[in-house]
Amino acid sequence: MSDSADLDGRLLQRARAFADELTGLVRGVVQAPCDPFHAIAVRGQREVISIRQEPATGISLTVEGDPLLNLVVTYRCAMDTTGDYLMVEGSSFDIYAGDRARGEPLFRYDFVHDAFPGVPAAHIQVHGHRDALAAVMVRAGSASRRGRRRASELGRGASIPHMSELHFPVGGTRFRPCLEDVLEVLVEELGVDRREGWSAALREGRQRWRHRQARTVVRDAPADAVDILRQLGYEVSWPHDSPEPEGTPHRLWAL
Amino acid sequence: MSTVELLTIEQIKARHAALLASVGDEQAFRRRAEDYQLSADELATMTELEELEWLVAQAQ
Repeated sequence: MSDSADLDGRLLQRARAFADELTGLVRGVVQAPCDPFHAIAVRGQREVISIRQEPATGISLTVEGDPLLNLVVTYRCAMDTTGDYLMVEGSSFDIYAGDRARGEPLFRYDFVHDAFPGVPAAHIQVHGHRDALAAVMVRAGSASRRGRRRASELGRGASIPHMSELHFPVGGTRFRPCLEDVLEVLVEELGVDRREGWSAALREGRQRWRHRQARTVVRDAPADAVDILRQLGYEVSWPHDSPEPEGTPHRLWAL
Repeated sequence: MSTVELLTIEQIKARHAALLASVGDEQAFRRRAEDYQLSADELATMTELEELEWLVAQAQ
């Protein structure tokens, strides 16, 4: 096989593996049918891949059998410089009301590796008017604890749900936003009066926070840390007779 | 099994041109996209256009 065919084969394999992973994830969670994800790979100056759900109009999500919501997923990936890893350079997960994605989403989770200055690389945008969100919250059915509670409250004459009842995950215990992130929203988005040097103070604080969290995550997943350090050229060994520490894996899956 | 296509930059440009030809007035189409006024099929087309544009920009 030529070098070019090798590279094509590797790129296709990486694209298919990630698309299969996404397909399997959605199929493992939602009851509505999910077609296999679709990937387009290109090998030019860089090797890049775009992956999205099928059908192109989004994955129709049902609540008690009714198609109430729609999920549109897009990943933009590139092979890293070693050619071994697929890096995610951008992703968007958009939620629409209705059985097909159209108009404006209710909300979206976005990640852009090279975001515009002042825009967080990873962020949540709530597009929907509170009435649009309340409309889908009212119809949340009885399969989930929150849905049952909401239905019960509405049955007792409570007013329509508030947006405050929606809890958007933001990275769990280890990868959660820090105070610096919230202060930046207040200054950049809402114009809170700032002191000279505010930006450097936020950068330093965020860096401090992420160093702490990085050290903590190593404790959660020491085998991963050892693997990466060895790839970087370090010699790492466990010198004791006792088993190597497993870390705290639940921290990595907990919401 | 997911579907994967390996395309050349020229193939992507050709697909992009064909999609663009299907939308009619491009500027009006993009304005309606910015205003979140696209139908389901139009939104799917817009998303595909954007992805093809990103692939070409990144690969060449």
